[in-house]
Parts: sequence; structure tokens; C-alpha cells
Amino acid sequence: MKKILAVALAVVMMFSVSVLAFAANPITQDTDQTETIDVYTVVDAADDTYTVTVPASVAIPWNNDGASSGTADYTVSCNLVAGSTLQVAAAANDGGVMNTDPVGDDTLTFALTGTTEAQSFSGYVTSQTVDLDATVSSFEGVAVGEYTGTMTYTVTYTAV
Amino acid sequence: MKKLLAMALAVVMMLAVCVPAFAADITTDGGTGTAIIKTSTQTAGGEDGAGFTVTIPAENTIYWDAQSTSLTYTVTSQLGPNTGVQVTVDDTDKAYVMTDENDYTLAYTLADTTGITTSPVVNAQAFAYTVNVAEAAWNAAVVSEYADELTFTAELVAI
Amino acid sequence: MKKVLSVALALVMLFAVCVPAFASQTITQPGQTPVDVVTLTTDINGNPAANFTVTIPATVSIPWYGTTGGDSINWSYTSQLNIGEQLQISLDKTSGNLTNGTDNLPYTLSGDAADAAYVTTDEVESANCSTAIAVTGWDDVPVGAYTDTVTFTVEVV
Repeated sequence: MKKILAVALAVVMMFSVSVLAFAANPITQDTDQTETIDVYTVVDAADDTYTVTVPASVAIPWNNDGASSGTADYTVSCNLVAGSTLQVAAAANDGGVMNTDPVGDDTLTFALTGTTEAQSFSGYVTSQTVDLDATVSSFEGVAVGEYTGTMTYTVTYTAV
Repeated sequence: MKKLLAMALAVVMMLAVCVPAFAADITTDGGTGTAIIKTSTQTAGGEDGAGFTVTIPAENTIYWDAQSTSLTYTVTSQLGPNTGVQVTVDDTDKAYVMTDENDYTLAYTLADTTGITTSPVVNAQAFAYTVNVAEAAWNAAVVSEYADELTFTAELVAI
Repeated sequence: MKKVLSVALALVMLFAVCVPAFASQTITQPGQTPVDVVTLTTDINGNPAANFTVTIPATVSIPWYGTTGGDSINWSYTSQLNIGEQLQISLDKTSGNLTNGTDNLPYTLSGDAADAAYVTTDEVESANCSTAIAVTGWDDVPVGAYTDTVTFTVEVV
């Protein structure tokens, strides 16, 4: 059994050596001889990964004296092959209108403030946060309550 | 918050004596505030609400041979607390002599010349004073119409 | 039992630590993700946002014999309450006596908050109000300063 295994191993090692001989100039002498080979990593867009972290919800404190904002920051991490891009955009739905549930007579309106334009990302990015807020400019004349509106984050990925 | 509110109201009430323009704000559920209703002693026209009137009959008749004649006047008043009207009757020239158109004279005396109202608020309280003419003066007088001027002096006094 | 309890407590504490992590969501595929934007009923310091102010005069001065057009307590309010709430303003009396300690001047109140408790009709509202004062018996008492107090009570209903 041991002999068979040894022979098998020898055969394998021989084939291994043979493979090298197919790829580059063989080293056949037992004296020092060097040969340089290039090592390539082969990747494509299928290896691209990204994560965009957005709030589950945005809470805006009430302010009887003026404007108030809630944090709508988002964070991007990505590892994209050269030429691939990631774009993140945020927008207020329905003009930012906010209603109560059930819908009543009063409404509020929020607008996005901060870095509101779409942001593009490429290459290797680690936890880059984009500053964004949802702001209500005035609470005057409105019964105090929980008013809800919606904003949408849109992620667009373009492979190389 | 309640203590602050109570203090603020106390300050407001003190200052109200000087400047009645301050107000109290109630901002808490179940909170209270008081407004003091207070009368002024001046009327809406700016006049003093306190006053009195002494009403004296235009004609005060003494019949011939009447040795003692009681004449009356009335006082109506609405004054401040513990304040009354004192009326004093006296001969204007203090000669105590009636005269006629021919300058004949008839002497007299006055009695019960001071009256004081019994309350700050009286309505036509009547007072009497007496004009006395002695029998001898009547018997010596020329029958005529004699007259003299009396002065009624009214002043406020503590009662 | 103790071991089970300690494990449960550990889990609860772990979840408590993890709560902030539940406040976000991750996107790993292209597309649109809607997020609710919600107002709180408290301000940035955590204080309730609902508020109101009822302003009453500290003193109401009535001239002797009263004012020709009538005398009144003029008061006002402004409110921004929670949805469904109203202000209710009431007085502690509808009649009484102005007194100088010895004599009395009777009076009655009518109008706003006197005939009945004053209740606002909307959560967000402001108005000027008037409670009339009718004093009688001016001729029956010495002239002077007669006073009484009227207490306003405000409740959110």
C-alpha cells in the first residue's frame, strides 16, 4: 500500500513539474537559475460589491419657533472593479407632503437639505457618509401630531 | 412651574396698584389665574363719585308775633366711608337784625344752627334750625316785611 | 431557573445594545427604497410640543356708577394643541359682591366663560374674549374702592 501511494505521489509530482514546464522556461540545472513569471489576478464586474445604508425612518422633532430637521444621512461602502460605478440619489415623494393617519385637515411639508444632488462612487470606498436632512420649515398653525411623508433612496449600479 | 406662576401672579397684583396694565398668562393644563375687579372713586367722566347736596327752601316764612319759628333744610350725600356733611347756619353780617324797605329793624336770634349727617349715604336727611324773635321785639316793631340773609356753610367732617 | 433568567437578561441587554443598529437598513441591490419621514410630538429637547396661553388682566377697574357702554373682563387665548384636543376656560363664579370690608356692591357676570365654560373649536386657535360685569347698588354705599377676585381655570379636554 505504501509503495503504491509513494508511486502515486511521485506521478503527481511529475505532472506538477510538467505543468510548470508548459508555462515557462524550465529550470533544468541544479545550479542557481532564476526565471521571472507574471502573476495576474483576474476579476470582472461580477466581483463588484456595495452596501448603501439608509435610515429605517427619519424623525423630525416638533418646533413651535421655526424649522426643524431629521437626519437622513446615508453611508456607502463599495468595492468596484475599475469602470464600474455606483450612484445614490434621494428625493422627497409627493413634494414632501406629510399627513396624519387618518388624514386630517392639516398637513406639513418637508424638503431635503444638505447634499441633495445624486452622488457617484467608484473603486474602493469605506463607510463614506453623505450628509442629508429632511427639514420642515414651519409648524405654525398646525395641530400637533405625527405627520408622515415619504422619501426614496435610489441606487443605480453600472457595471464596467 | 406652579411656584413660579404663583410668584409671578403675586408680583403682578402688587404692581396692579400702580399700573393696572399687567396681565397674567395661564399656560398649564389645570392652571388658574385671578382678575381683581376694583371700583374707582371717579366716574367714567372723570368726576369725583362722592358728593352731597344741601337743599334750602327758597321761602322761609316767620309769621308775625311768632317768638320761635323752626325752619328746615335737607342734605343728600354719598361720600366716602366715615364721612358726613356738617351744615352751619348763621347771619351773613352777624348783626342778627332783620330790616324792611324803610330800614326799620327787628332783632332775632338763631338756635340749632349746626347739623351733621349721620351716615356717609343719606337721602334728604332733614335738619331744623330756629329763628327766635322776642315778644318785646314784636311789640316794638312797625308792622312790615322784615328780612335778613342767612349763610349756610357745608363741609365734610369725619363721623 | 437562575441560569435561564441570567441568559434571558443577557439577551435583553444584547438587544438593547443592538437597538440603534435596527434604525437603519442596508441596500445591496440597485433599485428604490422608500423611507418614512415622521414628525414627533415633542421638541428637540423632548418637551411636549402642544402649548397654549390664556391671558387675563390682573386688575379690572370700574368707574363709579360704571361705564356707559358696560364694563367687562377682556381676556384672550392662543393655542396649538395635539390633534383632537380643545381648551376649556371656566370661571369660579357668575355673581358676587365687591366689598370694602364693610359694605357690598353686588355684581353679576355674563358672556364668555360665564354663561357656560368656554370651549375652543379647533386645536389651533386664537381669539379675544369678553366677560361682562354688571354692578348694582351704586347709590346705596359709601363711595370708595370695592374689590373682588374672579378666578379663571384652563383645562385641556
